[in-house]
Amino acid sequence: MTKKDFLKFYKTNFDKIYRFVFFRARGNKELAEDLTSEIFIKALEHFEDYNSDISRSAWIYTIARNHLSNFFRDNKKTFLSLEEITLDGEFEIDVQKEAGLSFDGLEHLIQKDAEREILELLANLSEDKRRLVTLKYLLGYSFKEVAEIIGGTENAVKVAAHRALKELKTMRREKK
Amino acid sequence: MIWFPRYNLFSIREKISGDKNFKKNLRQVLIRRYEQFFPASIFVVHHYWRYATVAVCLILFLSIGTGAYAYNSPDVMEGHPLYSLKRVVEKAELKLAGTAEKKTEVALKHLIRRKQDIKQIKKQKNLKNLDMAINNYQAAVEKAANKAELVTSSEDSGIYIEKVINESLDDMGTELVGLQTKNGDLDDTSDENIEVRQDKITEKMERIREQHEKILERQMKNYEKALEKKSEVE
Repeated sequence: MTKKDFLKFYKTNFDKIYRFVFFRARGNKELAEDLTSEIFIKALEHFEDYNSDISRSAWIYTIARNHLSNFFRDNKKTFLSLEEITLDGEFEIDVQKEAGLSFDGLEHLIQKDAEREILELLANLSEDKRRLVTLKYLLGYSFKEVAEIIGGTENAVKVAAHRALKELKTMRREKK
Repeated sequence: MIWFPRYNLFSIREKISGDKNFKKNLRQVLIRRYEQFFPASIFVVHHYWRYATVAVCLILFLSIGTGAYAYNSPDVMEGHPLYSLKRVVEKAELKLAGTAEKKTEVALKHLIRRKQDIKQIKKQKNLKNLDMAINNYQAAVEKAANKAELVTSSEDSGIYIEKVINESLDDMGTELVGLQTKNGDLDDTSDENIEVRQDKITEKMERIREQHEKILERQMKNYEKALEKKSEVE
């Protein structure tokens, strides 16, 4: 693995990891930047173990998830409740709990009603579907990468994502 | 309207992107860290060194393997693609032999090998290669006799070497008689020039014998000189 490979890897994964961290950090930009830096430095330290043929994005995603788990465990009093730490979903801002959808730190970003509405609906999806939709449509992973992260085939992920979107659509219609 | 969730999720995603300056700065930090972690020269050399080592090992393995096969296989003879390699290995073996006795021993071994080559080629009825094989045999006899000339330390060993060479020549003579008679192995071949070739071979064999006799004479003189010196010392 050369420097060129690492920079390519960084370019491919930066936005996805940043978004993942940003959501987990409840929209705290500074914290998200610090954590993203730490995650990429950790990835760099172990970059010799990385094999792009085996995993495209799942490798750094796992590093990020573990790093965040450790971080929130060590700082649970400051950031999250114990309940939230045990959750393994990507949307660890407990959306259901915050029924009023006061996405801490996200208010300045989510201004459109439609966007608020979709996040509200997303919170009502089952954990697996919410995770799938989050990975694919909010974080920006490809179907192949999502399949690597959650396990299963690309086609199965495509079908499941389509069903989840359909469910969101139905939920919206029922609500109206 | 499946586009509704898709579009709005996409819209949220686009808003949550890392700051460009942060991305750029982090990139610089990572480059510096990378250089600390993997100093350029060592890492690159290490990276290519692995491939180079594998390639060199592979080439060595194949060369040694092919060389060993060429040297040991009786099928590798005049006309075989590996024959030149066999000759190179034999030359090296002769060069590496330490003493004159050893060199003679190796030369005799090669002489016997050339004799076997001729037998094999004769079986295959390949006149063109047979011609070359006899040339090689001639060269091997000369070489063996020349090496034997240097062995003056013991009369017995000289006699032994002469015996081997003579036996080989006699054996070869018998072997090649088949070429001159109608009952020989090669008579079945429909080569029109067979008689011309046979004459050439006979001529060559005569020349070998003549050369060998000359070498023998020289060798005898060497023995005599060595004996004289020995008696003078005594």
